[in-house]
Amino acid sequence: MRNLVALPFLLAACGGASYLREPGDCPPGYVPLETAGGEWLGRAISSAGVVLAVRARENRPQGTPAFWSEVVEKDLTEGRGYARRSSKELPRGRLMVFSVPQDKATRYALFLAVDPERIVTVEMAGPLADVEKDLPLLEGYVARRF
Amino acid sequence: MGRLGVLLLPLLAACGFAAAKAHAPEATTVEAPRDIMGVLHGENFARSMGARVVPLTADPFAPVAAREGEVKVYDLREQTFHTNVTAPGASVAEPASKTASAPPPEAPPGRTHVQEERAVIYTGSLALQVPDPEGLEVEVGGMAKQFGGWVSKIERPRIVVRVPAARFDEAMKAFSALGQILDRKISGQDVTDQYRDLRIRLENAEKVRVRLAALLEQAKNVQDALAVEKELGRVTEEIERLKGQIAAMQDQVAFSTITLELRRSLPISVRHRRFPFPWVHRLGAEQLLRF
Repeated sequence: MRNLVALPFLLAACGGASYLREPGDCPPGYVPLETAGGEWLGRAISSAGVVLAVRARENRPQGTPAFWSEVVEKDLTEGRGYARRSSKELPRGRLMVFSVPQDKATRYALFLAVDPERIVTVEMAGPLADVEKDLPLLEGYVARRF
Repeated sequence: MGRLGVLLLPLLAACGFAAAKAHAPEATTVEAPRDIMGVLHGENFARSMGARVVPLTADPFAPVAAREGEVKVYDLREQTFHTNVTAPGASVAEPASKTASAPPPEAPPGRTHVQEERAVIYTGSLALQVPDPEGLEVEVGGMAKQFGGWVSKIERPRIVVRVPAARFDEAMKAFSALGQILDRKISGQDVTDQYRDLRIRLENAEKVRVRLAALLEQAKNVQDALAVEKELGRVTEEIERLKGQIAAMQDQVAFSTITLELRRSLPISVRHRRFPFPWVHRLGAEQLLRF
């Protein structure tokens, strides 16, 4: 509930703002990646092949952060074979890290932020060690932008 | 072999062309459906069709005895056998099929009057999703016994069951209720003509054997005797083979085969969870790393 109140800027930020489109907006070591349309608000890649991306969608049906966190986690783990490695509450949302089914060398991290109007996800995926190393960069990015 | 060869030739021809003789016009009997009714579809169904149910004999397909030039035909409505005198050269199948061509008004859909007079091998298969396939094996065996049948083979995940043909529909229905039906097939193979053909070939072969035995008595030298004995052995072998085929066919007609394939259904707790939120399904490393 705290996030629903604390994120009025999330709505404003997602409504037309750009993410990871300029080198200055990317975490250190990342460069913007051509999004070629689609639902990406922005994508960036590191020299190690770690991809960082921002997506947003309407909060419909309207759910709390806890509701969407649970849905996303169950879909990934019970529906698709991901395994949760860690989960962390950040000031603006929840950061979850997963191992990828049938690909032990890959890691997937997901930051989920929810306000009454929108659901924003910041995802990171790539080689296990590199993702683990870049997780602080992800945390820094969401703290700065959301 | 000279004189005896002349005697053997017509005999061998009679034996070799027994199949052709199946349709010979001088045949004087027809396999009237005296007992097939009960075997195939059950006494109750037969009665509902207005038929007389006759207790089973050792050979449910035994032809009805008829005199020369006569054809016995069972009339389902009048519940009696009619004797039709046929003109020489007339086909014996014609009167029977004509009698059978008009289905009675109360005939259930899909089962015509004609089918009542045919020898049909019914086979069915069921693919079921069940929580505990191994646990059901015992239950399937018990059910097969209740229907008067038995478990013929267990080859996981398949169980082959034989049940009396008269209870085939009932058994299919009961087995269907054991789980969620994934697939269901039923087939009926009409073997009336093949059966008739085998019977006539057997009769002819037996006649040939009797005549060969008589010839053997008349053999004047060892060479002739050996030739007849050789042929006698071949005919005897043919008779045994035909008997085996007839017995197998009778068994298949009298007992239907049902193959059950029991597939394990996933417990609810590990069933893949799905949510009606498409965006959630698009999350994950797969899409993120697709360029």
